[in-house]
Amino acid sequence: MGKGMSLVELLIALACSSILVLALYHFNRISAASHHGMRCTWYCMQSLRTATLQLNSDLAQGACLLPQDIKIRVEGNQLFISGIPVTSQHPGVSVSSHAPPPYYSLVISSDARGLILDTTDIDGDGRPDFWADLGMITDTSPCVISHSYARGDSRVAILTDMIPVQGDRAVPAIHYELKPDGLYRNNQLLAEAVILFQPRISGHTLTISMRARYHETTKDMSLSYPIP
Amino acid sequence: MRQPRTCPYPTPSPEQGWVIALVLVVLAVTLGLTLASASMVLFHMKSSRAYSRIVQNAFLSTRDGRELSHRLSLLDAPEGWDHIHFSTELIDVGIEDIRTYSWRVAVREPYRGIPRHDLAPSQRPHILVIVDDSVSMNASSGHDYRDESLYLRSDAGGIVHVSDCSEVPDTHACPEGIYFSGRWGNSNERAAAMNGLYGAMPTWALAFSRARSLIDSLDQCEIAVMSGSRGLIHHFTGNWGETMQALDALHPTSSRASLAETLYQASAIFPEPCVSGRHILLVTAGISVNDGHLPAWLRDYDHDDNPDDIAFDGEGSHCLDDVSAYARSLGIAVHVMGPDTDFLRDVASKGGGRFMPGRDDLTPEGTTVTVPLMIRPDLSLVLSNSRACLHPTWLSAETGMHGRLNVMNPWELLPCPDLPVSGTAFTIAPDSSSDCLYVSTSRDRIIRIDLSKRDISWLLKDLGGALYIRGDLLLSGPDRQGIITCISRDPHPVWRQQGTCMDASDSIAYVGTGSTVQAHTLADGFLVFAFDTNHRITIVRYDPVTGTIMAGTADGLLYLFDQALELTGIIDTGMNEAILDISSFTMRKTTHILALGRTCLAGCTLNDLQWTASLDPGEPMGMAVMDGRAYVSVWTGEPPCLGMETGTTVLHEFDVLTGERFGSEVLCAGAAFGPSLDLDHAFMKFVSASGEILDKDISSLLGIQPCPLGKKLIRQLE
Repeated sequence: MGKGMSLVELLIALACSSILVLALYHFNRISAASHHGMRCTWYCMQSLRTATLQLNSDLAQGACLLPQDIKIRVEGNQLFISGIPVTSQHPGVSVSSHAPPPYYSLVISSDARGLILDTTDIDGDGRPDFWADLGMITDTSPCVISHSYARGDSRVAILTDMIPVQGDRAVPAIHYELKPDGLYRNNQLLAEAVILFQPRISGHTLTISMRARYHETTKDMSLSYPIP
Repeated sequence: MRQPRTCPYPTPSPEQGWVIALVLVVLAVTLGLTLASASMVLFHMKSSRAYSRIVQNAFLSTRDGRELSHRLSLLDAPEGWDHIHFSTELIDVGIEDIRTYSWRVAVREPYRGIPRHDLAPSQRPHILVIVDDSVSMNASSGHDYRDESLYLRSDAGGIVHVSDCSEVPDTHACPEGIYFSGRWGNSNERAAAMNGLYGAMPTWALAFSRARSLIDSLDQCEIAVMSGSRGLIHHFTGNWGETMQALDALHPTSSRASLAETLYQASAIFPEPCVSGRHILLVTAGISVNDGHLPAWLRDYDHDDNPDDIAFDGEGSHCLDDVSAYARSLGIAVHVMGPDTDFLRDVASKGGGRFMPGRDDLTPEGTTVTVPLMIRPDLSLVLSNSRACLHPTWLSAETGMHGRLNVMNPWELLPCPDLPVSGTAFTIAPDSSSDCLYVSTSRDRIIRIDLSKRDISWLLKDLGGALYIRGDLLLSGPDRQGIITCISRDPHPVWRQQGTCMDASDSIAYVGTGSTVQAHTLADGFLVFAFDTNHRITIVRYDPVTGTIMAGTADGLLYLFDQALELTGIIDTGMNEAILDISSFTMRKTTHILALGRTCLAGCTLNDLQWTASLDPGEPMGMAVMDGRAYVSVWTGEPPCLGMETGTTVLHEFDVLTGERFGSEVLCAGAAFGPSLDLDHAFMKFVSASGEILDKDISSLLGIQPCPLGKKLIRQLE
């Protein structure tokens, strides 16, 4: 009792403590770096996962009760999947009490400013099925409904290079487009980390290549869907 | 006493401070590893969950106690399919909030073909009816009236037998004359005795009535009518209505009965071609008046040395048996209907015929088919005719009620067990809701057949024509009298209306009569709308999808109306011939109409004519519009007889939007009836006049097999 530590003991204790602290510091650095990397990967994957899930859901429901031959269209890096998206204001396409599917509108007339449809309620449930920023697939070409379009108006302003012609069938479509700040669905940001979105149709297969990037982390994903 | 601590792994230092430090380090490392592992597990769980959701959305699974449910909806006809005959079967299969849709075409109303009255074998019996219309036919036949039978004394003269059962207690006066029961007639309508015959019933009521009944039951024969006083009244025809009209115009009022002379004339009337048998049916009391003015070689042709085989201005000539023998030498059978006397039996015997012949002595032998097949889930039923009378081989029993309209109250039916099936099948109307089949015959009979028992449930006389089932009502007509009758399923007449063609919605019957289209309420027959086109209407069709009423005229015009018979359009098809059949269908939301004439097919919209296409010479037998194609069968019989077993039936296939002919193929020899659709096996079926069943594969048509319509996820992403 009361003897105290010798100098040698103290030095050894300090050395051991230093080694332990240094080890813990390195462990912490490695953990932080690993966590950062995982977080970037997680962020990329989260974007890709969100995009994949939404694409899968939209493709699974593509052309539900609509003409099957105009199910999917690709225009550059834009993807159009026919269908009425379910929103808080619209339950999606529904079966009519008497009219048989497939449901569609007919283009009555068209010009550079837009087109006139025979009806905007394709399934006859009393709800307009076209609205602003939604996509549209016609026999001639896919297009995007202008942001200025008022729901229910039979005259539909569209953004397209190829104007649909009279007699074309027209169905609402979900529109995917890559913008500088991410992948957009019906003009709403869906996946902000996505920096590459390349849909391609080859034969009876739709292939979608996506790339997400966050800081220095890059993740690629390629999806393939059969087109009947 | 202090016990020393023992440990297999001794600490570097026995001091307590080192132990705490080491424990903390171990805990920190363990915690770090645990957190890292948990983080990775969470990541994988989220990935797995996302993958699971994708897979779940791709396939329907009944795990977790979820049940697969099916919903079936019947909607309007699919695009490119005939509105009248087809509907869409929408199949909705799913589990809770995942639904997959598909569709296929279903038969809404089986195609009934274009009914034809003029079909007969190329070699058919020719029957010449000679009716003795002298007053001697009013003399006794040697029989009394049957007590329970019904007779009619017409205002124009003569008593005829109406039915074997009587609803009239004594007498009942009506515009046609006076109906009376046999019992009453035996007391009050006694015929004068003659030649030792004393029965109350006159010869006219016996012989003419039986001859009329026999002629009424004959089909696929050519019949001519002569009278003993006026000679030839109507030349050989297969038109039953004209024959009966000619017979009904005869009355026993003449003072002349040149029977032998008329028989001699009759023997020279028969045509050469298309004849399988030559028959003369002599309806007579056997008393010649002002007769016998024949060539000398003929007066005693049978060489019986009868001194009365000479001409008499009054009664007495006995040359009838001689001319009968002469007719036999020409290959003509002479049958006799009249009182049972030796003389008349002798006439029949020498003529090679029968005294009081029956159906089997006159009708053509063999089996024919005159209506499309009846398609059942597992087999096709042929409604064949035997000896020109509906007699399907698969029919096992006939136990149901037979009845006719009550002459005192036409809204009531009178059960009358002795009424036979008569005539060949004319149209059919299957009723899947009660698994029965309604058949009308060429001789105005409507028969209900219970398909499960293969039994005749009931038979109604004097009702016929095309058949339409609408809810609990059956519409038939026009019958021989040009009457359209609405019958309840009891059966019970609900209302009757004059007309030449008709169709019906679920609430309104649209009747064409002359140049007018009329709308009658289906429930009670009240006239609610009418429109006069000034053109003879040949066909009326109701489009159940658009509610359009389409009326075709004899000169190729197509009148279009809404359901209140407001005119919505007139289309000149340019055919200049009667429109025989009409089909309507939808392509790209536009309603199109096909009008079929005898030589032409025209396609138009509700606004204007789009195209016309000519058909090969022949008789159109049927038309079906399926998947944007029109299938038209045309039968070309061989002249001069145009027998139903001769020539060929060719099936033509047209594009309904352009009229372009895709192709033609020979279906069979002779006339073919159909098409009947067996969608379960993807066949369009025809049946030939000889009963041969012909299948055409239609599995390539869109809608025959279930067509996917996508999937709906009612549950949305979380």
